[in-house]
Amino acid sequence: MDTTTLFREHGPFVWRVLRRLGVSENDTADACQEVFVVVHKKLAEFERRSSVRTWLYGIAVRVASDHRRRVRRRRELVTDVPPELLTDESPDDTAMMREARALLDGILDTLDDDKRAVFVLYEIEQLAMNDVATAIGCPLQTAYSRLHAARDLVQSSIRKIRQDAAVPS
Amino acid sequence: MMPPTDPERLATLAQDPLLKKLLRAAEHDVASEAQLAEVLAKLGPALDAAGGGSAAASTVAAKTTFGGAKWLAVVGLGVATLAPIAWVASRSREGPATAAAPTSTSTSTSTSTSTSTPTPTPTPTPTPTPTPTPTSTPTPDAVLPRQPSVSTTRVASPSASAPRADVAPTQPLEPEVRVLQRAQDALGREPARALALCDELARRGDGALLDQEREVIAIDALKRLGRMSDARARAKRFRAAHPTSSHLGRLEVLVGRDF
Repeated sequence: MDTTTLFREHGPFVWRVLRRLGVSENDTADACQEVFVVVHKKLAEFERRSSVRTWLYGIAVRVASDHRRRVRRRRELVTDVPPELLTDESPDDTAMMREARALLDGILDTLDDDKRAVFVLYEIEQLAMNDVATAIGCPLQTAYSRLHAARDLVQSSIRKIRQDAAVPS
Repeated sequence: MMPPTDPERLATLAQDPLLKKLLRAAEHDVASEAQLAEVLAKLGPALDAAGGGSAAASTVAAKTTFGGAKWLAVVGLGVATLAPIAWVASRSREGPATAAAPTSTSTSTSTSTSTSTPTPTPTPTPTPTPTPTPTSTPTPDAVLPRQPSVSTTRVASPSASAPRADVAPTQPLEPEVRVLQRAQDALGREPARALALCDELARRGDGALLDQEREVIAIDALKRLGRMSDARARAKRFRAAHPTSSHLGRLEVLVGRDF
């Protein structure tokens, strides 16, 4: 098992999870590279206590968290550019799919990093909760609590979107 | 104490179709060949610089493409599972130009319809040699930097390419949320305009994210225009389509309980 093989097998999933964890499309290539550089450095230490996929997601969660923190700092220091201008969507994605993902990302942005990671890994990446807890390095019960809290917040956001869209202010 | 079993996932459990659509869209967010190849091209030198890890990673990276069976299997799975929503999405589009991002530049507009297969494509960077598949199609250089595999299939679908006589614009679609916002803003002073905007959205097809909200605004607009029987009829259709909607209460306020 080498880093390149891991990238070939898991790169698309790492890419996707980085996007949902709040890394803009413009920055995803760099973040993805960062993940696999970490993988490369730590591969020899990987003890297979978890699956490779779980291990990779754990690294991706940390890289995404660091990335978001850096971007927040950059925005605060440098510019008032609206967040949507920092993203770059794939041009041949369908309008509806892009809009749906933008809407979802807006909702996920309202979650803190911990809840967001659990929600993304469980609801979108379909990891088992045991693996989610392993990936983010928290007790299983904590992961469950975060999932329930994240679900409540997401569903509440959906209701608000619907309400705001239908009822004149 | 035994840990609780994993709950059913929201994509299955959620009652709200909007939430399901959002989750499904996220599941099918697949990086393009070009995007992955770009990372791979950078990865080799980065791994050399990082040291450690497995030997000769960069050498392998330089020779690697995403034409392998496993990668194609991943893409294939994405395409297959995307088919239903792709069909829905394609109905929401209005001709070739609608493949572009609603707020994107003309460059993105022009890069959307060139191939019909999930074809591994070379990148503009000095990287992997592309590995053509039996289904590959030559791709103009101009579209190489971003050519997600999944969406090319969507472009190729019959419903996507079939012209629709009832919709005219060839400009990129304005995001649904924004159109709805405009409709809502127009409701008070220009209900006819609000209704027209809702009808324009309705013509995009069943793939709408906020179709219920669109209908509520349209019914509100019909009432404001004094077209109560139309409003009631539309409300009735709404109730038949969405019997558990949280908006039914508002419709009762708008058109009465007997719709």
